Amino acid sequence: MPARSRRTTHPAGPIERVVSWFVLLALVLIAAGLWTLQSRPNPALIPGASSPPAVAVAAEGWLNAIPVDFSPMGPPERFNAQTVSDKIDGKAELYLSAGFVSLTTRRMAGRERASEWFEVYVFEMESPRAAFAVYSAQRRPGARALPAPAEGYVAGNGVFALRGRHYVELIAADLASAPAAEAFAAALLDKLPAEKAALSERDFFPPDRLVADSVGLIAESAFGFDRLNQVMTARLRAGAGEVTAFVASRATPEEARALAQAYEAFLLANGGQGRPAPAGLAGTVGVDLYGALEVVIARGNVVAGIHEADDAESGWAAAQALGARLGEMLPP
Amino acid sequence: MSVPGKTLPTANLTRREFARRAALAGVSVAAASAIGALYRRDDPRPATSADRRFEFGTYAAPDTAGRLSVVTGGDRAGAVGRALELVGGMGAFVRRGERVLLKVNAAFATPPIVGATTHPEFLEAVIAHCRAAGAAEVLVTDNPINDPATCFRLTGIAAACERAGATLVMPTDGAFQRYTQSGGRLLCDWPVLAGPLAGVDRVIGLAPIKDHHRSGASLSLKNWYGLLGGRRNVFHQDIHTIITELALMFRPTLVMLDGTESMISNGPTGGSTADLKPTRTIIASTDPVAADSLGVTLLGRRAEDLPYLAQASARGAGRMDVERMDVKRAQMG
Repeated sequence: MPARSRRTTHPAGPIERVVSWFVLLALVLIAAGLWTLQSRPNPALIPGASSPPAVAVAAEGWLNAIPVDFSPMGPPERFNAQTVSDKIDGKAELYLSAGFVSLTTRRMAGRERASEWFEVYVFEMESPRAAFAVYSAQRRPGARALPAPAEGYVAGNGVFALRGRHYVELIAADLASAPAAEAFAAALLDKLPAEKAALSERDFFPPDRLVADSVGLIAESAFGFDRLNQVMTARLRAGAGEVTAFVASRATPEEARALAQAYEAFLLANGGQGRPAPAGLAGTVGVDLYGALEVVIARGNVVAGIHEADDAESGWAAAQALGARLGEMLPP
Repeated sequence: MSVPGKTLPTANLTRREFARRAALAGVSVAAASAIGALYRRDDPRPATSADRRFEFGTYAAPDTAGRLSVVTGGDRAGAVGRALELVGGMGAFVRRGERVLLKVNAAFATPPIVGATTHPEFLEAVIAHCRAAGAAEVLVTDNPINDPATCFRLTGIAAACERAGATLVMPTDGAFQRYTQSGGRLLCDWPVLAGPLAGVDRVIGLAPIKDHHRSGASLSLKNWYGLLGGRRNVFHQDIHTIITELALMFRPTLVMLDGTESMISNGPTGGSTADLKPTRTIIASTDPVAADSLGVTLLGRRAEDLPYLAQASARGAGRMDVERMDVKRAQMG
């Protein structure tokens, strides 16, 4: 028979209980204190959270292979998604929301005249489509196009171009330095890998009304609606002026219909008033939003429409043209 | 509190044993506290932040509240002079022997032609007026997001300081102190550029008028963003709140907005003269909210389009109802 333990059960006394509760309470307070402190880390104080210095890049061939007419003012610098705002501050969100990979920059000066300098920005995006999104979002109207086959333009002192998944900017110190920047851009664009962007939605815009160089791509939250992503926009001629049209493809017709309904509900919830569509425009709704006409069309797996048409007549005319084009392009 | 029938396994507990166990429990609590304290003490502080707490001073000149002027036309330096004259002249704000700090926007290492930073001609004109008013010293500072020395050089700000006789103060690591705003949600224990503010009597903000991708517009209130250190880009997710809290940090002596050419698109960096519009306007005010409410109209937007202006105004940082203010206006050339 095993020896009986000497331990016996004994009711806890009142002092023991008080001390035990005190100890438990102290431990709970310590745990709560630590949890509170750690749940509110001060980003300014997190080790390594302060922005690391930009990394000098050794192996970006296209920024190291410098044409003879230019000399670098310093090494290239590279920024990633965590550090890109150190270079472009509040504009970083535009790139991050579209699919940003990296930014490499380098300042160059003319070899003959050092006062002629410019800075090269090469944004690497996740895809040619993402590069097109940031390129089109910043397009300057009335600019001079770069000679074909380059896709880009010169606006004042800046050169802006698109090549595959790269969006390129060259910012010259003054107007006199712009030609040097343009010459450098031509050499740089040749070195960047070419890759065609998948932008098939632009075929949905009626070609006879489409304003040249007006096609753009909004990666996220088009027109303030957070579900309206990957939306292609363009200006269409209508009446005496122009209106903005949009097209977004979805995986299935059901998905497209649900998105169109959600967008219409969003417009109505934000003060819009429903307007009937003219006869013959199937799957189309109109919304008067504080005097501007919004049109939403669901056709096949596409959501399309007109955004902020100041003149309702022009807006409906453009919507009819857009609807007709969708009818031609999509299977019945 | 006892539970009937429940007992605890104990030896025949003596007073000595109870004291021993209580002492052990006490040591456990002390050890846990010590570990917590050590962990807290090991919290790494950035080299840029001193442990001293910073409080902003009083920089507003007496009896100058609510002054606001708008000058259109003319050259930049001439319009600066006229705008100052309309709010009482620089002498109303800066007295002989005072030290003045000019907070510029030198955020980017970009040339003046793109309009992303305080224009050197604008800065030079204001420095000249401060000196003419008898300022003992004029300091110029900012904490740019790019390398400070390069920013000050390429923006032309360093050269403007040299020409006009102002001292450029660099945002060195030791120049930052921690600041906590009473009632602030974001500005808690945050490093601010305190060094250049030490011993100054007056603070004047000099900002360009720019479109801003996140906040809608970068004007005089957003210009105070350059007084923050640390990893301030986290504030971009709550941009209107941070600008509101910047507005509440202190009341400046004066702010001046340079809308000679306003960046109406692709801000805040811009990059092309095509992003600029010749709006030919200089605004001066002792009320930054009022100045920004007028400045944003040069971008074709309304003050109501900037949520931070309404928030700042509601919290007493200034007035949005500029139509009810005594706005001094002048047209030049």
